[in-house]
Amino acid sequence: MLNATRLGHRIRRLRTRNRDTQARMANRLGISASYLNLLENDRRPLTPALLGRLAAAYGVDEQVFLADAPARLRADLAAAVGDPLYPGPRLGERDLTELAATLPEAGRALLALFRAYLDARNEARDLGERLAGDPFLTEARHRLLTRLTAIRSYSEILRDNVELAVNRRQRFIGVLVDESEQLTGQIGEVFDFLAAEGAMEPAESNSPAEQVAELVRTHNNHFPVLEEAADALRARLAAEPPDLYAALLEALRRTHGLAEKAAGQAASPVEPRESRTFRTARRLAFFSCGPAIDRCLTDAVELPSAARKLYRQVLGNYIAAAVIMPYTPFRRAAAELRYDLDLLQHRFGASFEQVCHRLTTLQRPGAEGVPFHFVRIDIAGNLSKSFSASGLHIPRHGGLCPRWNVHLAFLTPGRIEAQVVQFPDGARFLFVAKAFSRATGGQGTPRSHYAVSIGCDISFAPRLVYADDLVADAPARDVPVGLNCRQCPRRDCAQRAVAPPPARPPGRTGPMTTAAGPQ
Amino acid sequence: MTQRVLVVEDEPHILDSLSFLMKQAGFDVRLARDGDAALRMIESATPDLVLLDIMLPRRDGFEVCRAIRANPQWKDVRIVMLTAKGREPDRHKGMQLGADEYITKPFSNRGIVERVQEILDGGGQPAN
Repeated sequence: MLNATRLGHRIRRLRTRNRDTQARMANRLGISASYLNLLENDRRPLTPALLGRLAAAYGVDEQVFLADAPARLRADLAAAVGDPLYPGPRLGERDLTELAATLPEAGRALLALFRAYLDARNEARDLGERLAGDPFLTEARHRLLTRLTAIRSYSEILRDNVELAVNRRQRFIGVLVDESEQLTGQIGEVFDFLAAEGAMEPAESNSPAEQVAELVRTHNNHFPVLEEAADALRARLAAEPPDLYAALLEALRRTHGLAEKAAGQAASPVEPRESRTFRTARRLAFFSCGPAIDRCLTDAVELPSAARKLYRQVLGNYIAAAVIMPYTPFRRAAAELRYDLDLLQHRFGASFEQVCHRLTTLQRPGAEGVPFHFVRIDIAGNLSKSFSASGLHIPRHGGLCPRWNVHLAFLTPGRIEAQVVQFPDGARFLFVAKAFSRATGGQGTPRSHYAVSIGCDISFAPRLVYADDLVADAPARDVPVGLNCRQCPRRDCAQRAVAPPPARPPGRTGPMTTAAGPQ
Repeated sequence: MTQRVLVVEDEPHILDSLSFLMKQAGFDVRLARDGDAALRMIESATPDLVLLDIMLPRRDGFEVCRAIRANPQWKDVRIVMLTAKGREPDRHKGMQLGADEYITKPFSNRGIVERVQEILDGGGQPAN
């Protein structure tokens, strides 16, 4: 049986292409005009006999007429209009089918435009990533600041020492003139470089998540006000795991008058205890630590409301983590246990991800922990969380290097994997990763799969228990990695997904691993 | 007794201005233009404080810092690291390696002199 319900468009298209009226086509096929009208509107099936007559009368191949060519086009269009580029209203299945079937050229033109847009967007992102770690800019920043330092220092000397001997005074003024000239030349070089890279256009606006991430980065992922509020809250609870959850619930009930059921309500029937504890702590944080959160939010007045709302959640999460893993005991335990993530999880009743994330917040000046970076990906490789205090520049777009063990961790779920990696510029890091699954319901409910990784500069590796079984002092045995394929110059890598970046002008090497560049 | 300050900096003009400022503040000033020279200088005339740039030829400031902290004889030497503004990972790394203070360029003359004096007067705790 022909799939006649979808063929009406094609019959109509054949007719209009041949400049026939319905009456004329009906006549050629030996049917009534009203029957043809029903056929064109998919209200009558196209029988094999009628198809044969259609093929004979208009000289078309039956197979070609039936081939579902528009299906691919329809699917591609659906993917294109599903992009956040189109804010809506959404085109429905019927609209897309109609477009693909009746105006395939228009559909293809739309797709070509969309692909050109995607290419341009990727190019802009790649450019941003490349500039962020470009050794020329890193070097230029250093040179500019050096010139400025000299200019500032000599100006202040001249200002503060009116009695300077004439010859010395002249020499210092000579330095000022010399440094100013050099500064002018170097600023010109930076602008030339940016123009050559096509980077003089205005930057694209960021998503709320990126705006919040940027704000968190400016705080180096450490919020003393929230730490203080969390410490006070934890002290009031006066409980240790495994009784912390009960104490949190009790506080919600007593202090904030929440009914037992509302306070203890699980997010899902299979929510693990540590998630429940975390969620309850966050809830309590919003009740009890309002002033601290508000103080942090004063930084965020410039943010659009969506980002501000998200930032508030992030601050609540921060307090929850700090209540469950209070700064001082957590940092002490981390050092004592040599950052053994399993043992830290057990001691503080927290999940792997919670422990890893909390480690990145140990940035209190004078009482820092090992500076880590943190990444979380899902099983399709989408990067959903990242932060870096380790000096590693984590690309926001274009995925992560497939050699990073955060991907390999999916091969051994539940097991902590460690590796020593080396980037093309020679920077070396210790990476620790684990993959895990989250249930959302019982049998038959899909599970969510994630991998979380933390890492630190190789100089801190001896402080981590994970370095014990690795050869941390043999760079030749390091795993050769990059940031991601788009930015990686390693041409001999068998795992490469896209061509290496174009060759750079002489004297400039590829992107740097670290925000700071090599030391 | 006059306290000794070693300035380690590869930019001649900045070396010169820091030397001027430290001498004016009454310190016995020694100068080095790279990491190797700095370590030789510390060996021959151990200073009370090292003003240490990070980006140095041959042996960088981090390595010099590490070498100073690895030698128990030099445990009392105070280390003030200098580097360009906006390089937070450097700051962190320097403090982890045992620096006492971290000052970003461009610095103010008064600020850097006062901080050096405070540290030498016991205003900063020695690194672990």
